[in-house]
Amino acid sequence: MTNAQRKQPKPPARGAAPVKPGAPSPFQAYLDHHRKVALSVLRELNSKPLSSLFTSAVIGAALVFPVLLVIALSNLYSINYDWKGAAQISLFMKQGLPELDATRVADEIRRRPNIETVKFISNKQALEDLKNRYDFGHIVGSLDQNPLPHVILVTPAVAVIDLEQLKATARQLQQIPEVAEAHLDAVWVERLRNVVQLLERVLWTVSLLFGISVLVIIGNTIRLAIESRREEIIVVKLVGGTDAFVCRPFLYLGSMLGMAGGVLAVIVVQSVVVFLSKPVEALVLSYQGEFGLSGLGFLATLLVLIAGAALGWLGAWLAVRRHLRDTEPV
Amino acid sequence: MNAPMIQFQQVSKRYDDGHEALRNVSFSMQRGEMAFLTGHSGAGKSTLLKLIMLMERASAGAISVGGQDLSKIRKRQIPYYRRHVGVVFQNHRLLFDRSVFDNVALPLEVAGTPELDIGRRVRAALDKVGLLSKERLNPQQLSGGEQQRIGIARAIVNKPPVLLADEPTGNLDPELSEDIMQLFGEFNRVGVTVLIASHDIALIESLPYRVISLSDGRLVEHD
Repeated sequence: MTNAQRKQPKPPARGAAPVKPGAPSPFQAYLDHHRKVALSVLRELNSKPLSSLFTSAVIGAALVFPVLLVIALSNLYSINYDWKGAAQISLFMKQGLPELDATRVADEIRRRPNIETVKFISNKQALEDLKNRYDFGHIVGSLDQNPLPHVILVTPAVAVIDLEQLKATARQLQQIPEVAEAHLDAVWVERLRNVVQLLERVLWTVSLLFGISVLVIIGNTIRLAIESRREEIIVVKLVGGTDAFVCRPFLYLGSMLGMAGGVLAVIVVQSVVVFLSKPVEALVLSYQGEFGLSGLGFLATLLVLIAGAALGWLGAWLAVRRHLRDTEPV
Repeated sequence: MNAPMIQFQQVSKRYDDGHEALRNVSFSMQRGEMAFLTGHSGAGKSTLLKLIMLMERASAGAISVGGQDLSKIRKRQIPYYRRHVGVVFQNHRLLFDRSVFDNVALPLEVAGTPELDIGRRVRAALDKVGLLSKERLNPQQLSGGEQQRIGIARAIVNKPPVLLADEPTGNLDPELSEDIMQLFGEFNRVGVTVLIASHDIALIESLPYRVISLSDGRLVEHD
């Protein structure tokens, strides 16, 4: 040994016992066991493909409806980007206000935050429109002075759903001294909002009901699995298996069935979206809207899978907890 | 160490239905001792073993195993306690959905033994019961005597200081029964405390071990 080597002794191992190189740690053994259980559950599901598919299809069916509602809602929320014109505030200027002042007000509004577009319509222009459009020519011609006010059309840069914000914007605009009246054209907004609110409630109710039914389906499957493996459970407990060890395969089974259900639900939902997108676009077009139906994105897909797995896990956990007591007092 | 391995002090067990399975039972077994537990069926043999395995709790009295007061072991700790008590059952309780190897490996697996050690220790246990060559078979392919040996291999694979057996020769012919008892004797010689419940009086009397007898839940003989 050289001097240099002697001067650098190995740091003494404190606390943790020195780990032999290549010796697997207890944690590694724990991970190995998880992997082993997951694989054996997969093999078991694979050995009974039909019943596995059936169970996950039932779970998938229960997940489809809430997911479809989420899609409907997220599409409705997205309307606020596509349909900014749906909510418009018409500002009627005070009678007799010079056009120059009215345009100055329009410019001032344009500079405000939260304003998407501002369109100024002078009373002359409005009268012209009226004359041309409705064949009121003879009536308009008989007027000795223009009875129409200048109008400023303001489109706020606010989510269409957000009626309160729209109303607040309208109130602010009403404060402008030159403005006689600010009229918020929000019938559609209100309707949309009511639909969204209704759908949100339906979503929660449906999610709750279908969530419970997923728990029941999984719980029943797990109950059968527990019954068929009763002898194994007893033996594992007698040789010192913890409850966690006994539960593990069943929790994996529940999660995997739930996730498989999620996969099926995603497939069904995406197909439904593709199937509906043409008619929906046509319908929206008939309202002069422009809007594309969007399905589940990557993140939402992931979320559905996780939700399926989590529900599966929960259902399995509830079932295992209940039925393990039946195998007491071992 | 002079502390007894298994100690019963005035232990009674009354079941919920009022049946009194054990009445005021006191005895102790030294570390490394081997004994038979006899009595007619219903005399309380199984109950006594269940109390040691913590499948049941005593209604009165105190039980200690390895110096540990069993009444102080909480439900969550029971699995860890059971890893120190090997058990052999009359119907061997092997799992037929897996190989001989996997059956014997079960106690190691539940204890989180690393994969590498499992192979080594399972083969050592199978070697001790003379069935190393059958590790890949399904237990169903084995004879009754061989199945019971697998059950024994499973009970001793994690080297418990205490080995219990509930009628381990109940379904075996006399010759096989003797072999099994000899096997228990071998484990006892390397220091394992062995308690075997059996009503095979002829076999028991031919062997030089202490006999603990129960009748109607009471200890009748204690030599």
